[in-house]
Amino acid sequence: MTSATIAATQIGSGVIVGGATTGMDSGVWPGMYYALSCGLGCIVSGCFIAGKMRAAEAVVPMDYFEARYGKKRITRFWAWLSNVPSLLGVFVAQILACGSIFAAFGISYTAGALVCAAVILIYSSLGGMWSVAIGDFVQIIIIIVCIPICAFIAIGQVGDVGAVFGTPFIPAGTLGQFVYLVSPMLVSIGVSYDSFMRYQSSKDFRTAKWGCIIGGIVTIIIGTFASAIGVAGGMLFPDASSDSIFAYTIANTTGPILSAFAIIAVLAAAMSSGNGLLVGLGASFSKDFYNGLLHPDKKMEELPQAKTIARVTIILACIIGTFISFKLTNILDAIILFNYPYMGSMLVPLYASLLSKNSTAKGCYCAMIGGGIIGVVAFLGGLGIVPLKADWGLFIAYAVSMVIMFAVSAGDKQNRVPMVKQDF
Amino acid sequence: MESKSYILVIAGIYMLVMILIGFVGKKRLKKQQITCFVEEIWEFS
Repeated sequence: MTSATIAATQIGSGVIVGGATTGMDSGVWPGMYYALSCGLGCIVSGCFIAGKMRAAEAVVPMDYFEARYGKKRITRFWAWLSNVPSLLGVFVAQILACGSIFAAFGISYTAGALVCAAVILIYSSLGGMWSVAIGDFVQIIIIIVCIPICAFIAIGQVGDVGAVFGTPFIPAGTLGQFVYLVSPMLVSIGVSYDSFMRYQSSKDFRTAKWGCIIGGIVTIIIGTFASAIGVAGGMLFPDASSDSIFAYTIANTTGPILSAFAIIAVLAAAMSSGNGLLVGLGASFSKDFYNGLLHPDKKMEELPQAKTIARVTIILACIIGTFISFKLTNILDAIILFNYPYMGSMLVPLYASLLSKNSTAKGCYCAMIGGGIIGVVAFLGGLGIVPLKADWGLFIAYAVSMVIMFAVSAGDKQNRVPMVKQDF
Repeated sequence: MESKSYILVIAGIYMLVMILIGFVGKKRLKKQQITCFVEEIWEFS
């Protein structure tokens, strides 16, 4: 169940539709780079992060950090503030994907987006993580069955497996692109709220760990099949647009029922990613803002309004996100940018609290400030507000944040605190 | 039946299943008296 829910979070429209598009344009292996990035990110989370977080019974990533270094309101505030646009932005992308899938088949974009948002809202707000986990399980079954079958049929019609897969894993001159596409998700998935909520819902730390690893492997396999559909589609229908090659190939190589199920699989992928983002937003408002910022001395069970706040957040976020999806049509690049402030500032300190014995609170806070400034500047550059190219902004933020963390911690040896004790 | 009709029918069934999962989840959480979003998420896997 944990593997299914982790894989469902990662396998969104980007892995399937985006994978097929890139597959047609650049070859089967570049087409699966994004899936590889997400899948390896899950595996890294499983190997180094998920078990520790789950054993600590943390509700949001900051809980573990605070257990080691103590509480600071300003840190909670920043974790909440920087994370909200990031989660909301990706949710908007999923609603956009849902509406676009319907629109591709001549069904109203608005109606498709509204229905999908309403369904996500109903099952996420009523049953919370339980419904999200069960829903993800249903969705991943549809994806695991449909996408490979469609890929086999499309490759079968090409009649030459070697022609589809027989290209270099990293085509000449694209090593930089490979590193740029694969490495960001590799480290960020372990501390992103949507994945975090999923592995924390597992029954114990072993399930969290292996759920992430298996979910990552499933993501890579499905991404490869999706890319293969794009490559085969490009060979069969060279005049088709790469943007719509997934739907076009499916519609023209499989029967109507399988074609319908494949489209539902993409819809399921977008919806399963969307529900996790809503629940992540609920946790961010109830735990980071309401508990961590407004009532830092109380435990969650002493705050009866926490659940209501989480539920109201989910409802409002869904309404706002759907409204934004009607106003914007091409925001995927901008959405990636909304991740910069949170990841730029928080990733290195969160990893340090989990993995580094020598890091100190002072080092982590300085790293947050340094990485955060670069993350915000790169974010503004990406939006065109400041004249800077944002492509490498996150990498620079990580690098600067790490250098600051180690340098300040080295000069602050007397204030080192032990790792959080865990019985596993 | 054309592809569009198949998609609408299968999508409709899928949406209904997801809504049903929501209501079952609500009933289950009420029965166990646990909140679903934050403090006891690890109660179910």
